[in-house]
Amino acid sequence: AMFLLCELKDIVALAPEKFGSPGLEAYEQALNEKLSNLVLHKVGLCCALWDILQVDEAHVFPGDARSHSQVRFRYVVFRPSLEEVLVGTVRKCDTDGVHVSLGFFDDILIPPDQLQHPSRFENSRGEPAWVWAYDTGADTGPHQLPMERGDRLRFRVVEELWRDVLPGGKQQPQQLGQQPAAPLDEAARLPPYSLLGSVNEPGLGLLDWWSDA
Amino acid sequence: MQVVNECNQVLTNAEVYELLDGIRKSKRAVGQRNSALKNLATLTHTAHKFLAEQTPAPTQTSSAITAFLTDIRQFNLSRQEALQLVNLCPRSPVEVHVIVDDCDQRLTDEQVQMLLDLVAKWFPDSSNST
Repeated sequence: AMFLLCELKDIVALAPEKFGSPGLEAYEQALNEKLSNLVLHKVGLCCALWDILQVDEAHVFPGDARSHSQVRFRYVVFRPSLEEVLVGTVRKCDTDGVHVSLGFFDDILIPPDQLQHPSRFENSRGEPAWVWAYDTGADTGPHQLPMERGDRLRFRVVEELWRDVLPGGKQQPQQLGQQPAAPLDEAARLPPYSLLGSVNEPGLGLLDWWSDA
Repeated sequence: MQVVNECNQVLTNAEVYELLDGIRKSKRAVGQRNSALKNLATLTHTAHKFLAEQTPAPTQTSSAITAFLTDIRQFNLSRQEALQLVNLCPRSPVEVHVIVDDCDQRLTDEQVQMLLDLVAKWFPDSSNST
């Protein structure tokens, strides 16, 4: 499925001004501040807090006015399964392939070898497009079916790519970590989590192509 | 941060939509004034928009989903296939073939049509879905 619940454990530090907040509100806010819209390596894109399962006794440390508690909670994570079929919109076409967006997640690419065969890249009509030459056997030759920015399409997830990069391009050690938002060098230009998709099957590709099938 | 269970449960798009809807409506959308919760606001807004405009999630009730899942048990589909039927609401045979692995070998044309009829019964087309 597109979304799943991930159970996590973390220490939440609350500043004194939060001490009066009702119930678990301060913990909920702290967890959402920390995780929402961030990629956790090999876990997925964190969306929003689902629930808090347990809050342990709070501790205060010398020199630190904040209270620290270990919190066990479940977070909604976006991480489609491999082979799962999704619907999205074409964000742009270039020589890398067809880039697809879901609005809240943009790092989806359908590379040229995963398009319907045969497809070619065209940039002559002002709008870059990948065009599928669909051979119906008619005398007039194959139908030209373009995929362009704004088109809605159905695609299958075929691979997940994780980039785990620290400053200097060093590999991050085994522990779980969050990804920095701003890339720092060549290798780091790749997003922390991205998907490769395929439309090379009947029923996949633009929704319009199959709407009468 | 420690992962206790990478996948405690899978969710339908409808369940996620309901959560996001609640966050948007909640008075604790005080977050919009709080710049530290900007990420949550961005994610909630864009994901809610996607689910509302590109999927049938907003109209799917949990009772309809449960009833649908019960009705399709006879077809011996995997959990992933069942969930995709709910999330995608296929309206034509080719869409079912894309969701069910080796569909030709596992389902007859009549069974594919029965599946489509069940989708239409529990998740009527509000012309918003695929």
